[in-house]
Amino acid sequence: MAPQPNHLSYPSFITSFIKIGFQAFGGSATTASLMEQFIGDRLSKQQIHAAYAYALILPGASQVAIVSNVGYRLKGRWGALVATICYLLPSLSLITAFAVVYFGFTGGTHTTTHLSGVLAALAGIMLSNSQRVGKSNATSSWMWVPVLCAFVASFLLHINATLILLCSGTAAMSLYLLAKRPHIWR
Amino acid sequence: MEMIATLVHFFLTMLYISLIAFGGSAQPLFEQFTVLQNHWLSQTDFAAVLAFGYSTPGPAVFGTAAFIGYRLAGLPGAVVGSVGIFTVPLLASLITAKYLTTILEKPSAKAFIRGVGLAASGLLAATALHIAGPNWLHPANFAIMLLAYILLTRKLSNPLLLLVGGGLVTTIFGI
Repeated sequence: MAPQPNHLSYPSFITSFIKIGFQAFGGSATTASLMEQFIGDRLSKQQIHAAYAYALILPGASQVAIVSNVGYRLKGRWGALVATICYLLPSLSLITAFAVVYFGFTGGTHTTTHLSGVLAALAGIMLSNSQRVGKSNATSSWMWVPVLCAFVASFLLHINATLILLCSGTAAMSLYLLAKRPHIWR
Repeated sequence: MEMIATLVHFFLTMLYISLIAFGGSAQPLFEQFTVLQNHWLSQTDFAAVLAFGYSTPGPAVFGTAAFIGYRLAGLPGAVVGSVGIFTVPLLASLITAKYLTTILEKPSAKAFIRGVGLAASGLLAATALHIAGPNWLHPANFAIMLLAYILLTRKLSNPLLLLVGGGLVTTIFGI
């Protein structure tokens, strides 16, 4: 039997989401596994996985969609809002502290120019993310062609990112509608 | 008055980015709107924003929005950026969930989202090389980039350690 969500008191609810917010490094999968750890006794694993799967198809940051969905399941609409704020509070505090130091004490632009290693590591991280995003969407080897086209369009031709995204999405949808071969996109 | 207008513009930009950011496409959009179009940040500051975004818990896009907001208007700007970037997924999750789920589960919509995701992958790679700057082919920088890529892809490290490690290597060895 699924656990009864309404047994969680608001102080425990708030504390749990702040703790999750402090430890949520590394994307929505981490957030989902932290939820299992912190509130797994209040919601079933299936409910958390459903929130995760559902969040991936919504626009914007999927972590926010997962947290608000789980907050909603636990405490209704206000629960969704409170859970989201508590989850994002640690991130907001840390990033504001970073921003104060970066812009206030270092004069901004000087810091990173001396730390080319940080930028190189960041580029490696982003390339890894790029591959992860590509692999999650490309179910056939030919689907890497639009990935390459988008890269060339942005990096070499400097075409607007929104335009590239919309063109790629529209082309994919048109191909689907024209070819009527839905198995390609599954 | 000018500051309020800038904050409203910034808020609407954050809403727009989160509305169209399917499939990991937010960072190229941030670069497009905050660096290239509106000049709210330099390319170097944008790289720092991303580095800080990856170094903090929670969604990297949230940290990015808060940081840019702080750059524009201090703490009120950070709050405006944060609210702007989480409003769409929160509302989508709360109010229109059923409606959106019905639409987004249609095969044609799935094809659209997949197409956006494929382009996002290429755009992320392009943004990565923009971030690395003109010296990304320098042997030391290239080695750090490659190592970070391999370690993260094989899940042998986390972004925070890689960023700190990269910074330490260039600081200690004066590269």
